[in-house]
Amino acid sequence: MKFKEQPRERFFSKRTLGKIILFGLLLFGSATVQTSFFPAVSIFPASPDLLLSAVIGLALFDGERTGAVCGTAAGLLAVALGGAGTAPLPVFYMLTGYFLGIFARVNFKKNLLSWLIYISLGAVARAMLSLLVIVVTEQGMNLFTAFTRIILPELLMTVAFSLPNYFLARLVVMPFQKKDEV
Amino acid sequence: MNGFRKFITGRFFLVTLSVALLISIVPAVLFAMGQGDYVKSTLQLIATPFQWAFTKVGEGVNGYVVYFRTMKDLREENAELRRELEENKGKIYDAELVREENEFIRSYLGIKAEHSEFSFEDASVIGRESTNYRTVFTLSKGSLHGICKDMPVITSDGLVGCVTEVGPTWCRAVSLIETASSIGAYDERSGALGVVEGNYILRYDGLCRMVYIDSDADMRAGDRILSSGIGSVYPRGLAIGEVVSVEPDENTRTFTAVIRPYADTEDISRVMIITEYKLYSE
Repeated sequence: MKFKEQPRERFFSKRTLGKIILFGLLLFGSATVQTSFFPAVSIFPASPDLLLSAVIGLALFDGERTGAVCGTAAGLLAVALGGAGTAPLPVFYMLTGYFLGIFARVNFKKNLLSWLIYISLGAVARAMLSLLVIVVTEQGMNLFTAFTRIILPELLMTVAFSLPNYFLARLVVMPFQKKDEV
Repeated sequence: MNGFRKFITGRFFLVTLSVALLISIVPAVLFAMGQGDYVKSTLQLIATPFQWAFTKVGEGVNGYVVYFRTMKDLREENAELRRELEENKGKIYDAELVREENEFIRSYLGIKAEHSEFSFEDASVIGRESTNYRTVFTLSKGSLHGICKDMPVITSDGLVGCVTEVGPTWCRAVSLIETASSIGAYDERSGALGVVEGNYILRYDGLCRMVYIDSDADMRAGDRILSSGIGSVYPRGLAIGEVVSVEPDENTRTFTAVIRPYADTEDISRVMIITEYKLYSE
């Protein structure tokens, strides 16, 4: 397996500015919907982690650098808009975006199947983090209860509602890919 | 693996990780210091209108969900209430049966206290004669329960009739208003003697008559008629009925009284058969 670094981009360029705006909008939209729409609908057993799917989508289609930066930004949004709790989400999102971005570039095609693999891996990792946080902060909680009430619903909801972000990430990355081709 | 090591030791990775760590730690530190987090506040300020809008959309969606869920809950509650209603109907019916039985046992105890020399066997009416006025009943006890022919049948109201036919687990009783019936009787107030017998015409009104009353007997409407114990079937002192009217019999120079039996043969469902008693003649 041979790794090759993603080429660096100039920070002060139209292209980078365009990415910041479009990717930022996707992340901001995901954070807003995640923290407002889903908690208001009582049939959903948990809120899906839309930020995670957005980060994975962007990492998949635009590489590990974008994945890491967007992951950090997603963590900031999660902390700011109240969805983070005590979990170190900025670090988690950053690492997820970075490493999945690398593997996506090296090993997998950018299709729906690889997306499903990534989102499943990401959701499982997120579930592990949630479990860790619960074990550390809520010591009295029964682990079975934590699994059935929090971890599993969150994991399933994240996977189930990740598909829109797959298409949205693909859409926002598309203009920059075309430029690459040119 | 050298390439991969470069990824995790590269400047980009380390800088981004440091920033992510700072974002994770700084808000908590600022919060602990009682300081406001301006970045967080600004982002929250920007997000607030969007969050408000999405919350409204969510609440709208939730409204529909709650509506349908409430309908479902109401349907389930309705079904549950119907089931409970049916159960309670059954309980009321059971309670009614228990009440009737309780009433029957009370009256039974009353008769037991009044006639301590009697032995009783209680029985249910399980069949009736299929004519306009029902004067023959099939009862739920028979020879296996010690029932014999000619045993008197009573209710707490008064005398019903006597057993005329006996099977192993059933017997048949004939009401005192049946034409074949004949009971030695007396007027409780005046002591006037006579015979209570069924009458073909009177029985359609649920009545019978008392014949062979002395012409000088002081018998009046409303008098209580009891069994006299004379004869081979009925013991003394069983309430038969009350006098409705008294008329002279032109042929025999005696009086004949119309009697309304206390026991209403139309309504009875449980009776007592007197299995042991002493006859007046004994």
